Amino acid sequence: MNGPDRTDQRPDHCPEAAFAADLALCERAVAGDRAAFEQIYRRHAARVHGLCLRLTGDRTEAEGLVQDTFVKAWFSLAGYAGQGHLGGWLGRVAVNLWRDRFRARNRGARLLERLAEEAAGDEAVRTAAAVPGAAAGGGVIPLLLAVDLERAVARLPEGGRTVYVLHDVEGYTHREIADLLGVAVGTVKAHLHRARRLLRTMLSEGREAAHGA
Amino acid sequence: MERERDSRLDRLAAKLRDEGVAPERDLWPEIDAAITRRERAGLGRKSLPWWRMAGAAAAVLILAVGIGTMLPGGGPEGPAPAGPEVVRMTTEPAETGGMATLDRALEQLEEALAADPDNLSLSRLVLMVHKTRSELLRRNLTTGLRVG
Repeated sequence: MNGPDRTDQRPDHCPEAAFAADLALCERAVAGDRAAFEQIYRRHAARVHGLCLRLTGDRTEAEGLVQDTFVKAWFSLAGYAGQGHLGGWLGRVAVNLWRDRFRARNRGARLLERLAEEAAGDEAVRTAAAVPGAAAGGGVIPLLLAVDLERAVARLPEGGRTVYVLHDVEGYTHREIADLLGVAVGTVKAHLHRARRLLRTMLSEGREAAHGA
Repeated sequence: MERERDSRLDRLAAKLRDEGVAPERDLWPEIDAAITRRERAGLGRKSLPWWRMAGAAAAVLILAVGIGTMLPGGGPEGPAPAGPEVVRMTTEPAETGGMATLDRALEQLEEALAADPDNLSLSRLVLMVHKTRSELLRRNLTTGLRVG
């Protein structure tokens, strides 16, 4: 129970095979087969958890969001019409739940404040980039690993991280993000640009640190 | 160099999404328990299975296309000749249960729409079934008058 999650049954490498397998599992799950739904969880838990972790920035909160996402998915799986990958659909369920919590806790206002603070100047970029161990793991740009980027994303300011994760990682459009967060499209674009620049700075510093070591 | 680094970041971002981060503990037992609790509390699952909706939609489309091609001028050959042969063809859908199929499809689609009222595709489909049904009724009435 407290050991690492058994997410070894990851989606197949062949997208068509993965899609077909997901559809078959969905059909069984919608018919009430809980074991099939458990397989869906095991195939997609890592993806959904990764997304939740990036959105919330908190492991406990992310786990709660993952649980709620799969509970919600069980009750509305019939709404997944086999259009697009199941992982993407589960991701949208997670983002919608996150948005509802976000609004309920009035974190939207906090995020807007953060966005304004971040926009106040590039000092925030320099400060965040200067966090010791910003690119812990020794990521050299030509040899960057996903884990290096993951660590750097976790160190982004909340506003920039949210926009970056939704746009560059999850593929939401500027407009969709603006609607989700209740901000202008221009604000989203500005923060995305700033987040990317901050990431490059952090990763470059990691490279310099690696060369200097 | 900047462009190259951006594309690498983009590829890594996609990798982040696809690989994810496995939870440190197994969350399934809690998910399973939460589902059971909700089901016992009487919170059922909403909406129809998508393949049932797809079946209903397919039945509607087949009927709609069939009706469309039987309409005078609706087929690729141009206007159909008027006469007994046309009368026999146009009454066929109703005789073979076309109206009953439409009614069943409509019932399922409306049930699905009630569960998912914001679904634009479903709304369009329901509208299309209503139109198809009206057209079939109108044609049955016309041909009935002509046969009579």
